Amino acid sequence: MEPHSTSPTSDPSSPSGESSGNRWVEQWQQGIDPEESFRQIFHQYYRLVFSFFVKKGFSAEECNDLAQETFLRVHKSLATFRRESRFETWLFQISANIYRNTLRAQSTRKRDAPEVSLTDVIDGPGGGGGGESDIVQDEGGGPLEDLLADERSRMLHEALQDLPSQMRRCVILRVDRDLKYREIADIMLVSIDTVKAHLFQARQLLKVRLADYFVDLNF
Amino acid sequence: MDEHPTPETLVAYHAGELPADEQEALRDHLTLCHDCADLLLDLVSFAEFTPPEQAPILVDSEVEGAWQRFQPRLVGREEPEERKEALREEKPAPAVAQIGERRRRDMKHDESELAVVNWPRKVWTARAIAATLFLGVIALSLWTGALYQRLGESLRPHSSVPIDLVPEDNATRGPEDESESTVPPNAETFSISLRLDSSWKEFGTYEAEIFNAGAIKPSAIISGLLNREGVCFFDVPSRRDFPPGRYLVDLYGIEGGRREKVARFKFQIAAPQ
Repeated sequence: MEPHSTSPTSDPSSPSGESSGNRWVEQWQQGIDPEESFRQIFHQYYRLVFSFFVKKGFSAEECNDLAQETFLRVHKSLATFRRESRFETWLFQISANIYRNTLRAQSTRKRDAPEVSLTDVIDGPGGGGGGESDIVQDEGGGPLEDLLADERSRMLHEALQDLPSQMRRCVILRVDRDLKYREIADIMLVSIDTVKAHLFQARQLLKVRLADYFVDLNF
Repeated sequence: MDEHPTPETLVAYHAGELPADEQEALRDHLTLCHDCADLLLDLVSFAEFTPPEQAPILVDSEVEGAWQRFQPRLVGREEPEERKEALREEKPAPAVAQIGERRRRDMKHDESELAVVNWPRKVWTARAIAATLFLGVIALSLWTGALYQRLGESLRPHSSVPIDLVPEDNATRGPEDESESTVPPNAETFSISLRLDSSWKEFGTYEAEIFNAGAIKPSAIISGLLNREGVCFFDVPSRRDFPPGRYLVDLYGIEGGRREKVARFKFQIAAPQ
């Protein structure tokens, strides 16, 4: 496998904007060489589905199995796919549902696994030690530092709450998750310029409000 | 929105199809829920047909290999490993197990009956297979025979008579030239050459309708004819459709979807003596 660094090798959209996946599906649904039509669908979208499961943290073998499961479901449901919507988003739904079902199954297996006492793990069977205080150790500064940190956090939280909702969301996504402008725009369904404008204005407002608590607000 | 949105809801959100209040609630959820926000970004990747950054790209041979492994699953010829294991571990349902046990007890009471119960089943299966094969061989023979007959007919050389026709109003073709436009009675088939006048308008293709003189509906329509050095030439498809008698051939020129009559020809098929 090669690291991804360029845009996809084929553009699935025709000049008219129709999804080529929809065109192959139409052929399949009309019974025009269905095996070849589905082979084209498979070859065109397998990488996308495989990458989706890779990003979710599955091994290569698991990704292959899950991707094949996805296309198996696609094949079973293809007759019912309505071409008013795009094939890509329908394919996403199937992939995402398989992903969530897999997660649910894995969490069930974990839940049913034999329980082990955390104390046994850390101190050995039969206990020992002082309990939680031995596990959670405060390695930071003294009580004054903690108090100031709590105060800054509280002021930031209050200042954020006073921001307009969309502006606040953009700030949180930028600060908390370090998302790119493009990603924030995709999540919030706004343009990149709108995101930039929100962040710029938020920076100005928070600077005024929090100048005494923060030397520099950079996000 | 406390619950995580389904993929279908995310698709609707991305398409702008949610009501305003639901959209706002989902925005709040996506701001705080990393997993759902990531899933939405995955949806964007699908919609734009763009694999996520840093995701490995499979080469063509790997995709083809995946397809080769996938095909047997498509036609149900191969079960995935997990399902095979599940099938092996599957125990029969209690009701079926009881029925099986009762049958085994019943069969033990009468060994001869057991023998009778088991043996005919095998014999009948073999007989059914043999009968199917026998009938299949007969059907194949009949079909092959018919095929050879048809092939023979098509390969046997025809006594094809060429008929060279000129337009009806051509003064050079008089009664003394009628032999040139007469199909002899023993001809199994015949071909027609329509002579085109060089002064006529030329068309991309032509179409010929062959009428029995006095009939309304044509006996045959020959399409896709071309002007080959002033001649439109074609084989008459079936001699059976042309009993002895007089016939007319109307030639039409086809251009740009329009049909225009070019000329009329005539010929005759002689009756047996």
